[in-house]
Amino acid sequence: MADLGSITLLLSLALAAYAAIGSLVGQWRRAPELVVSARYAAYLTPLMLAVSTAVLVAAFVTHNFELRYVAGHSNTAMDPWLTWVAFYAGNEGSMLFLALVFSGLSALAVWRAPDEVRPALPYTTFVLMAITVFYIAVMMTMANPFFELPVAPLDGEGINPLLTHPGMFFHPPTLMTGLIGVGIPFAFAIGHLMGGQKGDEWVDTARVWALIIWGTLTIGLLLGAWWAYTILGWGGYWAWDPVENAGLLPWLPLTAFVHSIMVQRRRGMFRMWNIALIIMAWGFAMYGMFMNRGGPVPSVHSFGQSTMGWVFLVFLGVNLVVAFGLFFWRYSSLKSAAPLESHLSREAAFLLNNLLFLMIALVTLWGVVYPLITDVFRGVIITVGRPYFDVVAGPLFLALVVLMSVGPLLPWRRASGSSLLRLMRFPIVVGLGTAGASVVLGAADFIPALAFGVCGMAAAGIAREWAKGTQVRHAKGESYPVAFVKLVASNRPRYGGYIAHIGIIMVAFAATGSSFYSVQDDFSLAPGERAVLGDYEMEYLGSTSEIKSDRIEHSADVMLYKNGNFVKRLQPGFAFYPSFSMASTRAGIRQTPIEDLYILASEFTDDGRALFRVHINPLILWLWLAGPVMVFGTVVSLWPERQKAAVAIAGLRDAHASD
Amino acid sequence: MFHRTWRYTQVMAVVLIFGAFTALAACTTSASPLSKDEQRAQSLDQSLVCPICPGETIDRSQVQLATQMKVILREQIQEGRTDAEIRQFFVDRYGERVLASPPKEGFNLLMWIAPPVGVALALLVLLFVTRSMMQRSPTSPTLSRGSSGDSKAEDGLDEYLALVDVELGEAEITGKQPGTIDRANAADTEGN
Repeated sequence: MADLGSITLLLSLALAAYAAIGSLVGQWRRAPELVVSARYAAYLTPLMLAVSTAVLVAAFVTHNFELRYVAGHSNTAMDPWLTWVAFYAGNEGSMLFLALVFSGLSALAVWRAPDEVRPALPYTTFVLMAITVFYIAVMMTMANPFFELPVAPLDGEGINPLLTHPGMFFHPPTLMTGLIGVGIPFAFAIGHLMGGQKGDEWVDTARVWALIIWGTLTIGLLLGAWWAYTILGWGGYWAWDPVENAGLLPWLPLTAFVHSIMVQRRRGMFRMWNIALIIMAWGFAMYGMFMNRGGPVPSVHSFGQSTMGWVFLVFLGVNLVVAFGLFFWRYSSLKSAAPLESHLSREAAFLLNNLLFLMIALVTLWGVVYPLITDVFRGVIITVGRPYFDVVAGPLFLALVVLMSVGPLLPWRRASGSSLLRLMRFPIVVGLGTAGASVVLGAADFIPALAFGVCGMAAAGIAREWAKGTQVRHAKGESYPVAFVKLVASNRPRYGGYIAHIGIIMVAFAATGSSFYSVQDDFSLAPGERAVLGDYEMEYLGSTSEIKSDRIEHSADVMLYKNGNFVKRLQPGFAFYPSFSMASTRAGIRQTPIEDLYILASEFTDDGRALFRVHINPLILWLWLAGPVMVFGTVVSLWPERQKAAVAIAGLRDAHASD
Repeated sequence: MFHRTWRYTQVMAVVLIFGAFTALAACTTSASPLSKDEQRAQSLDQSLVCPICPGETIDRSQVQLATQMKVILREQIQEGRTDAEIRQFFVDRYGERVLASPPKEGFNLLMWIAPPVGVALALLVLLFVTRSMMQRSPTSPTLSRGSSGDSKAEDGLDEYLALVDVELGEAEITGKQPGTIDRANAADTEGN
């Protein structure tokens, strides 16, 4: 069986290499047959990789310890459900997963490519398949999942305890897909440059792919935060850790890209800028994959340590040099079709948005590389952590939320100052009201009050847009719900974007509440004792221990009261894995829209006492709810549009004439 | 009649958004139940990392050493030491890397100053670039697009939105044909 996996892996490499070379040579030599055959090779590549993946998954499920990779990342004691996803627990399997996903997305992108990108499609195919070749080749030479041990061990070493969580099904696949997927819009941009196209042909296709990948990466990041919150056991969801930053870094220019691509779509502007943005996003995405595959900075999330880091670094360098080389070569053909008319315009707002996202990315990168600088120049090892990132990136994020309330209200081309003031009147009133009210109700500090106010302002900006459009449709005889739904359906990219904005506001809201108003305390309790934190009181009843084949599970029995009333029974605990000398935590959480009560049981002593760490984390639920909201917004944005606008205008114009 | 319903929904929307945000914000912003000393200790906890667990501050870490550091830190607060003294105590023992972020002094000032300077410079560059973009005339008067029909649809949408503004009394139709007005014009007339 394992041989089959190796064979299909080799075949996929041959097919991908053929697809890459065939596309390029076929295009140069004007041999359409060669280009077509290369395209079919590109379609076959993911099929071969799918067979390899199926073989690897089967090896995990059937505990085939002849394979070094299976023996190293699973054992017979692990939960059976986990064996189905254990294949991406380490380097080798992650590489296979990345190659499978990327070649699959590539095949889909090539197959579904619309007519306008066809002239440059062979170049795009070349870029896509060259990236695929890199992943398969590195996997086969440095991290082959099908390497067979001379003697099969009786049992495997087991999986990293931190990965034993239902999140394993969702977080690694979405994050990896979100990172590698940035290569798809990147390939369309590079294909456009290589093909010497003069217009905006690549823009629509790249936008669709960028949005799909944006949604996936966003979900990947949020799932990572959720996973960290429930299992890493430090009561938080984001620590500005190097690996977390590596996931956030590509998200920032990608978000900038999905905004500024709208300007090119609508106005034919920012042509150079959009290509530069997607190249940067791909650069950061490769950096993210490099960090996860054995980066130089220590992190709590490094699961796949290896020596292949430098290969990724070289690949990253080659990609950037080639991409920017092409960019400057084609620079002259990327002139804007229209001038910028005013600083008070939606175009200018998009530029500022791009600048802010890039600045966040750069200051984050600066915090990541600065320890390397001090190490080299002063020989001193330092830590750059939360205090730096909060102070430096926080205000920039806040500025983005402010911009989010202004930008969508600005018209294209130009606006006058007084009209802007009129547009902003309602959001500003709501923003000031929210900030003022949160001060009155106890937000003692300036910054969180400001942040809450800004959230209110941005929400009001969106509400105003929706109310305005709905009102007009209602006046034409539609009931409010129908008018609202039809409004959203009438311009899905725009209103889908607003829905995604709501999700971002929810994240900002939750981040503000939880970073400024979290409370925590430690308690050591004997059975029957109680502890109080804020309005909550917990009673420790006792603990249980259960010895399983690969771990010892400890859990505490806790009764939780709020203002004297019983609310929930919680079982916080942890599982200790002797073979890894590591524990995986299970927090006891009572979640409400207002705050989470979060209990960790960190130690059980011989005298029967238990050590608890209790957190009150406000507004966390909104962070998790933001995920589905943003996905929904992305789907609405992407939903194919029918040409309804013309009909709507005709109707409105008639109605107007009869007024 | 039309304007009255508009005001009504506007007021409703203010109340709703406002209510939702403040209600939630308020519930979370009640005063901390911890003593002043404990609050101070916890903010110090957040500024120190545990030397043996990469990147984790001692308020988060569950390692024994972190717990011991927390105990020492609280003892020193009881003894009346200042925050700076307490941090220096740990730096002397474990080196500079025990601080969650370097202090704003000496060589490390570079780290703290670079981002705001960089942002300021970037804003300046943006200003210059946009100014030059505003002076430059377009190279081609029309958009050269592929065979996509939706630029037309979007142009239509602008008309639609301009009409929405007109409907709302926020703009008036200028002397042009209704079919040719765009949002920019609508916005201009708004300002008059």
